Amino acid sequence: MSAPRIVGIDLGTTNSSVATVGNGGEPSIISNKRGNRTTPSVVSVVEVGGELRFLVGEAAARAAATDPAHTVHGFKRFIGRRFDHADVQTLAAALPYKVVPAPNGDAWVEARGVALSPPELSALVLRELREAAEIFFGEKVTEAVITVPAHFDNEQRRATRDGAEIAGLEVRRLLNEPTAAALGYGAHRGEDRRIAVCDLGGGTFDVSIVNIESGIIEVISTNGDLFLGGEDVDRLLLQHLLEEIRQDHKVDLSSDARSLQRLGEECRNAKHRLSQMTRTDLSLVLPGGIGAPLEYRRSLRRSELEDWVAPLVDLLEAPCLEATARCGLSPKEVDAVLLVGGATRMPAVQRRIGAVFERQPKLVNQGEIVAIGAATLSAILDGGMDGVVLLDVTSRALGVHTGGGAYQQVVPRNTAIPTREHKIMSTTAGGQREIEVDVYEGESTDIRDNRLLGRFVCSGLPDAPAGEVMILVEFTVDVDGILRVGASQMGSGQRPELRLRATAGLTRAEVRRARAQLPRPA
Amino acid sequence: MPLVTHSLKVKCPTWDHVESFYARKVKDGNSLSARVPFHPHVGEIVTIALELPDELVIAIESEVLETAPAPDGKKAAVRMRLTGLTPSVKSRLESLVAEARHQKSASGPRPRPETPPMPQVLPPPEPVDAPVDEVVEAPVIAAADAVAPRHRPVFLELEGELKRMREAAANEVLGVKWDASVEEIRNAYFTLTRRLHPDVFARHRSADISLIASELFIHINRAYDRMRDAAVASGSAIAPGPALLPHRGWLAEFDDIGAQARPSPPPPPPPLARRAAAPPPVPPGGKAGHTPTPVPLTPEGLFGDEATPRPAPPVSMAKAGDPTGEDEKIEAEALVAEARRLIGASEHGQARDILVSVLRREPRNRTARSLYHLCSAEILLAAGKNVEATTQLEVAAAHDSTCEEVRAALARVRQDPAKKGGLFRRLFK
Repeated sequence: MSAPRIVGIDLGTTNSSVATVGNGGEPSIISNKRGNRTTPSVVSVVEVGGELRFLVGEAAARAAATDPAHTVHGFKRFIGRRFDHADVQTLAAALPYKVVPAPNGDAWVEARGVALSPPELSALVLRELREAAEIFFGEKVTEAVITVPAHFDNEQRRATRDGAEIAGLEVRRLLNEPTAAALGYGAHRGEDRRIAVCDLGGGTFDVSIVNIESGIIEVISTNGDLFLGGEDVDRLLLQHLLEEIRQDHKVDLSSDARSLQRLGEECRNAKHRLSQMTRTDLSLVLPGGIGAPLEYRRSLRRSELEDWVAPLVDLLEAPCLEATARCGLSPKEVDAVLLVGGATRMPAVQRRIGAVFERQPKLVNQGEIVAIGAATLSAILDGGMDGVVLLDVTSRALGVHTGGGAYQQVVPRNTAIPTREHKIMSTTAGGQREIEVDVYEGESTDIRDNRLLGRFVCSGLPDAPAGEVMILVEFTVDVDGILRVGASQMGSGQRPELRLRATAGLTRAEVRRARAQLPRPA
Repeated sequence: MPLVTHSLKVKCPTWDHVESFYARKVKDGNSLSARVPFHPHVGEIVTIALELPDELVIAIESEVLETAPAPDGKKAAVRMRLTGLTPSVKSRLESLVAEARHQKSASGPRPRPETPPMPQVLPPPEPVDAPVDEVVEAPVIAAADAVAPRHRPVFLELEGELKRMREAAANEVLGVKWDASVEEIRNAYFTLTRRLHPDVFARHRSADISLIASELFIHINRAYDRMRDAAVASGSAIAPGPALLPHRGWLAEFDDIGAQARPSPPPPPPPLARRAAAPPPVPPGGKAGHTPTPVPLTPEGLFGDEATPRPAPPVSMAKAGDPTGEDEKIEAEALVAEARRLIGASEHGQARDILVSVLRREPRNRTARSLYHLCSAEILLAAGKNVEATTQLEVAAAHDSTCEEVRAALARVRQDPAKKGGLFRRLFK
């Protein structure tokens, strides 16, 4: 009897990949069914003969060109988010597919009349990866280590885990991406040192300072910018070009969806080319809002692009400084800088981060290193790698707000996990049978700036005068970075019933149901 | 067809709840009224997930007969026909309840390992609404005899360890003396991490072992936290998240100055020869010929590690804070005034040199200290070292929050959008 297989999965915004550690201890990427090392995180719903079919991966990515309205990409940015959140609204406005509110207020996606929750979309991609791994091993794969951005909050982590469950994978660990990158880089094998991992992806920037000491990989601080990434560069480039076109050709294309789509794609490709070359040519025919199509040609120099994106590149500095300052270091006391994420391919980004830390950053295989790191952790969890232990920290502060009181932090940011803190609450009125505790995520003293995780209602308290009943509320953050709340009555030790209201995400029953009904791809 | 239709979770923590569900809440055989957090339409099929105390879930299809918006607007009151509650399902529920009660009376009061050791008094049956919220249940560590036999030896070992740690003081958890050095605390924590981190036990694939291991590690993390706090309070470490780094000491310098024998004639500006090696950032408008010697924030070898003992202050330092003579006090005031003038003229390097000479004689002069840190901050700001400058400004504000110059500097930093990011936010609260 052999133990179940564990694989490492990098579930990315644009691309996902799966990796494993071979018998020799060497991690490697598993190619998908089409022989590619990464699989686009795209799902497309098509109608064939009156029947709905789901395309996943490369097939779906191809459909994006012809059928953008029913092709869902970048759904990772909606996972565990509320529909009415301002970021979701702005993001949704710029997308060709429809984002809809779920009955409980979550952001879901609609394609060809089918409402899909982000966990289900994740599940479709995860299943694709799982099946690739099953073909590779020739046996069932039931467990996985899945990576998430370091700044992912409680809901986003839970939703990711739900997605895996729907795909039939048990999550052995949710691993922070920068930490995974440090592992994938092989940090645990080298000498003791302190490295900074800078992960600039499509939409977010994460910095983690990682200490490596005799096999123990200890994350000592994380920081980041949630709204800074390669897509902002694309958007900025597009804006500049639109402005130019408006001045040179007297056409305003900013309200023409098809032109925007084409020009946007060309911008992205030009950005990629300019990471290798110092100049490139843009050439395309734009449908143009009115009148004749516009034949657009332009030569773009790397220096022009870098001038335009300089304000964005400047934003990289603050999180790096803050991450180092929080552990009492100056940036140059870091021994190595690791660059992860597609957007770090830009030379301007490399130069800037190099300047902050005053050293040449190391370039690694940005597309694969995270999955490799996840696979490495899976080997550690399987007992295949003795002496290597990973210590991670909370990326967000957790706090409570009780009726009338101020917001109080309970678990500060950068606390080593697993951890537990407690708070003592008491009744404020005689005969009070319930205590409500609002749990927030965030560091601001103003609760409006923080994110409500849920309202925990502790009920069934004994009938007693005000202040007599005291409840010990415990906040446990597990190794996945997910919060669990528990309550017990002081003195008697009884556990009153605790309920979570105002909750987001899928319920257990919904997850089970979705798992049974997950559609087969075409 | 939508992938997920509405479903209603009905959680029954005890078998009495189960009985109350089918015997009392369900009227006329198959009709159920409840308030639900969504708005179904009439005729919609809603799945009721009846979760039994043994965590088995029974799905019962039901059809919505009528709906009405609830007063709070969030929920809807609905009446449903439980088409799935067929006589066979009902009799199965009845037999499960009967079986559970029989077992309970037969095998004595031993509760299932998941239930906390509790009540002989059963909680009252479900209140008016069917519980549609998620009920939060804390996982409870299993009793040793409920653990699978092949996992039991490891489990018992961890249980013993946990029992010991629950009663131990923080330093005993880590196995160090209460006044252990930063190095010792860190080494002890790492040794425990290698031995007891939950990941080390993941290979057993046992939920019981994982739970007790993470419980154990929570204790270790908290003990480490507390020892670190103690180290920070005693001034031998700084508190950067989970890492424990030796304190570098911003104020170490003054101890150093104090260590120099009094009375040393204070020629302003005194050369700080010891630090001349540090590369001086150029202050704004620094005149040629004048070389300020700013003190680096993290001077190497300045109590950077605990191995370097702090020089014991000489006995005469006991009265260092008190100016010994009236004229000396007047001179110090004059020097501070001169430093203020220089700060006004943006000659921060010179001003700082003068302040150092004041502090040599009056190490506890708050105004001088505050101005001294302000000068350091200005020099660092000019060199673009915003983060380090912030630390200096914070120290300055801590020494003398009424100091006009420090206030002005803070106000300026506040208005400068370029410096607004990062650590500067801390100052604005």
